[in-house]
Amino acid sequence: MKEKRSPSQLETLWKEKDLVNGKISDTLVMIMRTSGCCWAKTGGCTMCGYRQASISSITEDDLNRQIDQALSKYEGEPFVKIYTSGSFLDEKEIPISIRDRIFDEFSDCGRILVESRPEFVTNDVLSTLPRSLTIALGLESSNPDILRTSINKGFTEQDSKRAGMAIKDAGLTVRTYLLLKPLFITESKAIEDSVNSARFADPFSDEISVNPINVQRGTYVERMWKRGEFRSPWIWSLIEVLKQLSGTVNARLMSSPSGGGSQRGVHNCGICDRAALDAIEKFSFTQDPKDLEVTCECKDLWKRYMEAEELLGTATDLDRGFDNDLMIRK
Amino acid sequence: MLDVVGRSQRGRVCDFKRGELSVRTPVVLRSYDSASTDPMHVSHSEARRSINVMGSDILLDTELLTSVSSGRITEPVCKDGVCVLRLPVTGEELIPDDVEMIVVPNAYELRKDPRKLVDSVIKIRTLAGYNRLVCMLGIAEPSTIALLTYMGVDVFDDSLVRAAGLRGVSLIPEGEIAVGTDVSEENCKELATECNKVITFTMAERLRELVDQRAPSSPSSVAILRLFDRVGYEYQEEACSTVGCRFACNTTQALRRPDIQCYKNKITERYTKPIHKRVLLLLPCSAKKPYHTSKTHKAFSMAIHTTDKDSLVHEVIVTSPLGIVPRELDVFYPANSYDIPVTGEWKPEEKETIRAMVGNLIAQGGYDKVISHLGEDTELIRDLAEMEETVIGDSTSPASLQKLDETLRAAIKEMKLVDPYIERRETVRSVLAFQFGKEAADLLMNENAYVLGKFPYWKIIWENPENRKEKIQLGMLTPERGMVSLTMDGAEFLAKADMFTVEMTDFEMKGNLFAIGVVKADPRIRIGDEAIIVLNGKVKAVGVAMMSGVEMIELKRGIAVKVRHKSK
Repeated sequence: MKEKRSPSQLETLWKEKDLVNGKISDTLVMIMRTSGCCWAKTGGCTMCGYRQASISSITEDDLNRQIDQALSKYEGEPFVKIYTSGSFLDEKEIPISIRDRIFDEFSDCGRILVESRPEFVTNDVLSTLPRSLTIALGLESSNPDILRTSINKGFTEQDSKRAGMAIKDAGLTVRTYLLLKPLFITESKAIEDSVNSARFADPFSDEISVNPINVQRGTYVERMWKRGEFRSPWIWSLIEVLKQLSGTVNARLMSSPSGGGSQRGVHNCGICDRAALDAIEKFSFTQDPKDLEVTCECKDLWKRYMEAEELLGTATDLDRGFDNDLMIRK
Repeated sequence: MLDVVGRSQRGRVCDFKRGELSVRTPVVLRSYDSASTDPMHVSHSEARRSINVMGSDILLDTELLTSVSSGRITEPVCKDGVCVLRLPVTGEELIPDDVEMIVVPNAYELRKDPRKLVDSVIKIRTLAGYNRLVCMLGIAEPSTIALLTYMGVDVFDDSLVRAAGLRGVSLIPEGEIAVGTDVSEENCKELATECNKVITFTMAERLRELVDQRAPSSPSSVAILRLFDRVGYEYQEEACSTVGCRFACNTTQALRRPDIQCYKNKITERYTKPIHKRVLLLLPCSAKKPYHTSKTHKAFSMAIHTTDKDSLVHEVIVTSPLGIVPRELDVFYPANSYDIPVTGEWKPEEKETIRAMVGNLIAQGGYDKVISHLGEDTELIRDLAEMEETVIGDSTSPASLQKLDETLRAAIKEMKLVDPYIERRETVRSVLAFQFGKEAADLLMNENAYVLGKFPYWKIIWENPENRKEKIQLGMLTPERGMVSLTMDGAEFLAKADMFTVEMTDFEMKGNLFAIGVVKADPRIRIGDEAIIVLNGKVKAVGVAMMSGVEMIELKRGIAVKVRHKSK
C-alpha cells in the first residue's frame, strides 16, 4: 500500500551541487505538490508521468505549509530549485501570493530556478520577478513534427524562442531543456535532433540541459516501450551530442540524466554505464570535452545498432527485437 | 505490367515488367549504399532510404518513423506507380488506380507480433488486390519467406538478415545461430537460396507443404500459420483451387489447410446423401487415389457389387483429414490427392473431424442400417449409431469380405430395390450439389435428365420432353478432371440462373479467354471450376477457370478461362 500523499507536504526535497556564477555551489531542490500541469490535464506530453505528483484539491494553505517545510531544511544554500511538475508561473498552480512569498523567503539566495511553459512567460509577469531567477523552458526539440507527433508538446519551438528572448530581455537567465530521443526517431536522428535543437536554443539560452528520455510509468512512451517499440538512448549518443556541441555554442552544456544506467533510462551495456555517466556529470561542470573520453567494447555495438536502424527504417528496440533465447549458441 | 505465372493458393510467382526491364517475384531486393544496376533495389545513402523500381527512386521514410502500435496513421505517399504505406494501416486507405506496387517500409515491426502480422498482410493484400505487387521491407528471413509468400507478399528485401548478420546472428531456414562475427553476406545468400525454393514449390502448386516444413522452426512462425489458417480462411479460400496435384499433410497444422477446410465446408453445407440410399457402409481409406482404383477397394467392391443390392448401399470412406468421402466424390480434389502418414494413431483433432462428419451424415436421415467395415477404427464412431461390424482380422481377408457380402444381403432383405436409373440420377445429383451447389444440381438434374455410363465416367443426358428422340449431353464426370465438365448445353442451364458465368467484352474470341477480356465474373468461381463465358446474355463458350472470379476481373494479363467448347 502506498502511503497517502498529504497535500501539505512537499513531494520531495534534496540537496545537490550546481553552478552559481560559474562556481560549484550547494543547491536545495524541492518538488512541490500543486494542482498540476495545465497541459497534462488535456492529455499532456507523451513522456511525462509527473501528473502523478499533482493533487487536485490543493489549497493556498497547503502550499504555504510546503514552503514552511522547505524553509525548515534550508541552510542558506546559494541556489534553490523549485519544481512543481508543471509551470511555476501558472497562477492556477502557484497563486501570486505564494509566488511572492517564495521570492521573499529566498531573497538572499544567489540563484533561484523555476520551470514554466512559454505561454506563462509574459512581459507583465517578467517585470515582477527577481533578477536572480532562472526560468527553465522545455523546448525539447526545435523540430515541429517531433514536438507535435512524438511529444505532443502543445506549443511550438517559436513559442519557446519568444519566451526565451523575453526572459533574456528582462535580464533573467534561461535554462533550456532538450529531450534526447523522443519517440519515432532513430538513435542517429536523435543525436542530430538534439544538436540542431541546441543550436536553435543557443541564442536565447544561458544553459542547455540535454535530458535523455526516461520511461516513466503510465505514459504513452511507456506503452511503446513495453511493446518493444522504443529503446531509451545509448549513453554514447548523449556523449556524442555533447561532443558535437562542445565549443560551438555559447550556452553552458549540461546533463544529469534521471534513471541513467537502467533499462528505462539512458543506458549502455551495463558495464561502462557508471563511468560514462560520471564523465557526463564532470563535463557538465568543467565544459571540457576531454572529460567525455570514455572507452568500452560496447561502443562498437552502438555503431552497429545505428547501422541496423538505418537498414530497417525503424526506431523500435532492436536489442530486444533480436534477442532470442532459442538461438543456438556454439 | 504484371503477369501471374504461377499460383499456389495465396502464394504466387509473377513477372513484373516495365519497358525492357523485368523482375520475377517472389524476390529479395538487395540493399546498396552506392549505385546499383539491379532493376529493383533499396538504397541507403546519406541517412536516406529509398526503393528503386526500374529507374524510379521513391523515398521510403517520412521524417518520423512512427511504429506499428503507435496509433499514428501516416498518409500513403504515391509516386511513379509505387505507393509507400507505413504501418499501422487501417485497410481504408485509397490506392490510386495507377499504383502497381504497395511498399510497406516498416514491416520489420511485425516480426514479433503474429497477430498484427496476419492482420496487416491480409489488410494490405486486400487493399492491393490481385493486380498489384505487395512489398514488405525488413521482414523476410530464411525461416519465414515461404510463409510470407504463402500469405500473399510478393517482394522482400535483405535488411533484416543484414541487420541480424551485423549482430553476429546467422539466420537459416531451420533457426538462428549465434556466431559472433559479421555474417550479413552469408545470411543474404541463405535468403536468396530459400527464395528460389519458394519459387519452385509455388510453381509446383505445393507451397503449403514447404510452409508446413518451415513453420516449426520458431514458435512465432507456428503461431502465424495457426492464426492465418483460422482468421484468414476466407481470404485464403478465395485463391484456392478446386483441382490439384498430390500433396501431403505431414504436420498437425496441415490438417487445417484451407483446401481441406473448404472440402469439409462443402460436404457440410452443400452435400446431401443420395435420397434412395438406405444402407450406410463405412469403409477405410486407401493410400492409392482415387480410392476405387486401389487393391483394397477393388476387393471391397467384389463383396459389395455381388447383386443389385448395391443400389441401396451408400459407400462412404472414413478418413483424415477429410472426415468422410462419399464414394461418388472419390475422384474429386482433395479426396483424389491428399496423403497422410498412417500409423493407426489419431490426433484428437482428427478424431473430432471424423466423428462430427460421420455424425452429421447419419443425422441427415434416411439410413435404415449402418455397417462398419473399418475394423479397429470403428472405435472412433461406434457410439454414433447402432451398427454392424464386418471386419474379421484384416479388412480384405476372405472372412471379412464374406461377412461384408452377407451382412449387406441381410440388411437389404426387407428393402425394396431401386431402379438403377433412379439410383444414378440421385447419386449424380449429390455429386452436382457438391460441385455447383444444390440449386445448380436441380437445374441440371431436372425431370428430363438421366445418367448413362459406368462410374466414374457418368454422362448426364437431357431428353427433350417434346421430342423424346432428341437427347443432349449436359456434362460428364471424369476422374482425369476430378469433377463434372459441362457441355455448351449444360452451360446454358446454369447461365440462365447466372451461375458460374463470366461476362466477356464484345470481340472475336480465338481460343481462350484472357483476363483483359473479362467484364464481370461470378465471385464464387474458383481456380479449376467450370466457367461459362457469356456475351449479351448468350453463352459463347465453356471451360475451366484459371483464376478466381475476382482475380479475372482485376488482372489485365493471363488466361482467365481455358475454353473447352465454343459456340459456332
